[in-house]
Amino acid sequence: MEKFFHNIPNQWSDEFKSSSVLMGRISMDNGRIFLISADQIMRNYLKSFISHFDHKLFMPLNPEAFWEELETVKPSVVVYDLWRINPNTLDYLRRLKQLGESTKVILLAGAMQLPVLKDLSSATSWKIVTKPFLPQELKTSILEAFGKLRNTILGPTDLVPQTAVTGHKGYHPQLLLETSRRMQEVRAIIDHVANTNVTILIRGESGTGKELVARSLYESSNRSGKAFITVHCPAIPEGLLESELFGYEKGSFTGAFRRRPGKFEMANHGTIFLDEIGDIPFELQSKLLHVLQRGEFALLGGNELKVDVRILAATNKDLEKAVAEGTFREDLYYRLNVVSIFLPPLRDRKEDIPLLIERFIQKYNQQFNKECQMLGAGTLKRLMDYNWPGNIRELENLVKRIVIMGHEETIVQQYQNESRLPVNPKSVPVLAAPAEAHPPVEDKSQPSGNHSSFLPLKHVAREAMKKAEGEAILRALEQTHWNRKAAARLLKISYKALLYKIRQCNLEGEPGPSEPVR
Amino acid sequence: MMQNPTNPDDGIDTRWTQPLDRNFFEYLLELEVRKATRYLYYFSLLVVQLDRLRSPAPGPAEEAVHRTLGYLMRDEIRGTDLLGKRMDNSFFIVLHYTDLENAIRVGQRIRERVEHYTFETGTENNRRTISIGVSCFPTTANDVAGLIQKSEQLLMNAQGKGGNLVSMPE
Repeated sequence: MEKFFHNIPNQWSDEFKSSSVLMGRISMDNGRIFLISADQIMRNYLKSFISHFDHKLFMPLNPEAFWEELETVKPSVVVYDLWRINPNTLDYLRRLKQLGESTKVILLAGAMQLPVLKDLSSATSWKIVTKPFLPQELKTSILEAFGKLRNTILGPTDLVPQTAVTGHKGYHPQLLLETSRRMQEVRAIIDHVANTNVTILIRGESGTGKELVARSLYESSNRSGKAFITVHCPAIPEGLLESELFGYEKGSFTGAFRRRPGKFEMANHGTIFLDEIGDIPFELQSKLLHVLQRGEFALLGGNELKVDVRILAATNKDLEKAVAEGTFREDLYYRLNVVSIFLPPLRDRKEDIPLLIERFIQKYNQQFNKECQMLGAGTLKRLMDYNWPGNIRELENLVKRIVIMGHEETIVQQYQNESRLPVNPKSVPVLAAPAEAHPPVEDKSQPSGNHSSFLPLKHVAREAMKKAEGEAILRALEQTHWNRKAAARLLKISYKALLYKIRQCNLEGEPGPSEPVR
Repeated sequence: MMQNPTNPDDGIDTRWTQPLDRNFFEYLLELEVRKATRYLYYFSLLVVQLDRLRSPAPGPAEEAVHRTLGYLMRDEIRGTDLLGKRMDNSFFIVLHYTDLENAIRVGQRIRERVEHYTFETGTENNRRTISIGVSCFPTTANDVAGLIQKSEQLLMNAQGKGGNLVSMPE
């Protein structure tokens, strides 16, 4: 976890300084803050951060030098950046604990280190801030340590520079937490493409964090100071989507009392994020293609406008299939698919689950003023075994419920009972290709030696649909004597789509139209 | 219409002719940008400044001219539009729900009113003119810095061309 701070850019501290007018100088009554960190970059960052507090700052050259300074100066607050946990570190922490309740200790530690620190940090004078942290979290901890929290107006967080709020390199803090190999690959792609103007298509199941990735791309780009406009396409009625995206002129239709800008005009020189782009009506796709190709569009009832907008799009649909079926324009597909970022479902990166749970517990503890601790090992194991069809969103909702209601085991059990829900076959996610179908879930309620296996419901629905489609296509082909064009018309799909489905359903071996049917 | 634009005691609100510091002005503008983004509407920013005279009027007289100018502009815009004075003695006007074309129309109206007004300065220089720079959100720029920069640049263009002009983006 510490590695995320290796690349803190120097200008981060400058940006933070520029917000000092907003943070204000906070008097600490000559409090003495000791900063202990073996990492030079972290020392520089913390030194700059803590400079906003009116205090005396002591920065021992190394952790051992701290004990020498103690002989002359008693610290009010110790901010200790934990690097690695080893016997020496544990010994050091025990010595810190012996300083007593009058010395407040703020420990900066990674989430994976928390279980080890649990016993040591039980003292009321200790506070753990999990890395990566928001500046506001550390500020709150220091103020609490000095007993100043209630009497101080905290600065408006929305006016802190974006890079400081969102963390390292513009990533959302949640994206930084996810250390699985697949998410590291996602971050590597973000690093490569963020600062270009290419259109990016973010793909993944519902709840995998497509919007977070879009935000990270925006924050890491050179357009991060400009507008970021999000359009959730399915949420807007079809009839209104065009006016919402492109605006309208006064009088262009009944009710158009004044000229209104559209989202693309709002996003000029900035970035627009089109969520669920697969749901855009076919008629609007050509207009969108025009914007992508030429940067121009016309307001409803108005003249052409030229804009400079970077487009990010997301979908959980199988766009290739939609193109084959003729419901999504092929040329638009190729325009969007310049760079694709595939977000893996949570079931394929379960090693991220404990870190995410920790993050969500922190978040909702703060939001609801609770003190929920990290989940027990048994509960954690049950959650790791679950498949998370709703991905991170589902996990977050469950953790929120646990934090609010408590009783983690009861809630998890209830949840697992509730979550045997039928899956709508239309929402079968793009990335759950048949090759990635999950192994049958073992039903442990059956007596041993008589295990019956159950396929996931999603898989069952998918296979049933495929079979039904194959039968319908075969009937149509037989009726039309294998005239594929006529069969396509009968089935009301495009010829191309029919050829795709014939291949998919393995019907290609059947006699073609040139061969007589026997 | 105003009863007596030169009488500050005539019950007219003088708050909008008090200078605002830059931070607060930018804060107001930031709020406007956020509102317009959320509710999807245009707004325009006009930056207005009196054209310099070869021999300016004495201090108190010049202040009175600025005050009167404020009243005149207040009279020409809607009650819901924002009017304020900046530390450099320029005025800003934020016209809600106003696109560029209409903002220019308002700018011209203000310019003509000032051009034909007889100011009470106690000297022969009782005619003044103004220059105006006009930008529009999101047409010209969609951030605070961009809007201010563009309006100021256009104001300088207008002054550079001899003043008594409303300058707009090309």
